[in-house]
Amino acid sequence: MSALLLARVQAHDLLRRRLALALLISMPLAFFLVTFTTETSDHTWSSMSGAIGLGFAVAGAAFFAMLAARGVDPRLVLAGWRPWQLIAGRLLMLYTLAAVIGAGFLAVMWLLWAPPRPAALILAIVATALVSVPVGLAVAAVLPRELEGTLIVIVLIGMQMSVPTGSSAGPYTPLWGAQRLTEVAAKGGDPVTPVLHALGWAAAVLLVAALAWRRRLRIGRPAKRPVVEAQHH
Amino acid sequence: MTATRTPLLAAHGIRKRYGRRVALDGASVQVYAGEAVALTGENGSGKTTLLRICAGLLSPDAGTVYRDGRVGYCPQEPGVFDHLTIAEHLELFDGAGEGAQLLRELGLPSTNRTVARELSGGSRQKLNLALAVLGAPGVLLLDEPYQGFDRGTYIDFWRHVQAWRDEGRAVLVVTHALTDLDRVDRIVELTPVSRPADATVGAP
Repeated sequence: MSALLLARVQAHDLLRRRLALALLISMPLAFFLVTFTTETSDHTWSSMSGAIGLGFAVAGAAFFAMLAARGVDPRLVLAGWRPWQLIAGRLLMLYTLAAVIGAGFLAVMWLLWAPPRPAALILAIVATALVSVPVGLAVAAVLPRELEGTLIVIVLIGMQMSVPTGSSAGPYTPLWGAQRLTEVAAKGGDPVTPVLHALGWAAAVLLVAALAWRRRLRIGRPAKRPVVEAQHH
Repeated sequence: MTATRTPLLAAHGIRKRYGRRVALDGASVQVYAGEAVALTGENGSGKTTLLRICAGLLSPDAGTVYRDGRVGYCPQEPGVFDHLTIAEHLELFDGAGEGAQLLRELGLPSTNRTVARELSGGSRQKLNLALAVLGAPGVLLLDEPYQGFDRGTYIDFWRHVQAWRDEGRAVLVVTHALTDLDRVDRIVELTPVSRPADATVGAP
């Protein structure tokens, strides 16, 4: 019983959902291309849109992976798994998925755009994935209902599109760091603060996910001695 | 004769409320090694709630649960991953040997590469049951585990219950079927909390 085993089996689960997988891969590309074709300046907006698309894809994958496990995880814990192994296994699988989708998305951006500061763009993609995966896990752990949870994921990830980086509310939103890094990729600037922002958000949301899921999977401790009622056989 | 042995499972004075609805109020059940007990009662009498509390998956508002050893729990709705095969489930639950054998005896080979969501209702239920008995748990909590079974599998299931009992395990089976009551050692009947009696224990 290891996180690696769970990650591998969960990857099999995802690979069998071919349509879902195709949609996950195409989401950031769709978000990027639809704005890229109309944007004439530095492509900050289209790269940010693509990053948001990646955020939707991996947060959605995380949310539904966790929901699908809701009925099985308690049984796995009864069978000897520890809650942290289940979370770690899913994180491993989801970050691998995010790396694959993000790499494909970056390759397409490279071909079409050639950003002035590619390292910052890579950081933007990494920051998006870093935050979005635990966002999906945390929502599933706190609000494990399909419709309500999906709406919350849409709000948490999608709100970034309506918050300019310079606004006072920006730093309080989960993907502000990633958003700022797409600006750094195009126009230059300090990458350290947005990277720290992403790391902080990722850690905080991951902590919420881990604590909430652990609480859901807590197995009640048995009493030390039975209270036995007299029975007649 | 009054029993003085220690049960493998003993839930006592269990009270559980969901919002304003009281699901259980003072329910008790105990199962000894080498005993098969049926948990019966009308819809809404709290059978599933009591089973989940016995497994430790749900906390009671009041009362105590004693469990001796590992618990195998078979939920009413198959708790399986829709897109994983039988072999992958057995691998996850760390029980390739025992689970594969039970599935073979129930007519579902573990080499079957069909994913769970494409299995028939009865086959999903067989997988659900097999996952509960992996790891040789001393206490088996089975919540209507034979839904969708054909007649032959249903009879096989009860043969296995007898075998588990003979091995010294404690088996608690939720059932609605009156015909099942002859197959167990004891019956515990739950009545809805709005009724005068909360939980009654009787012999078949």
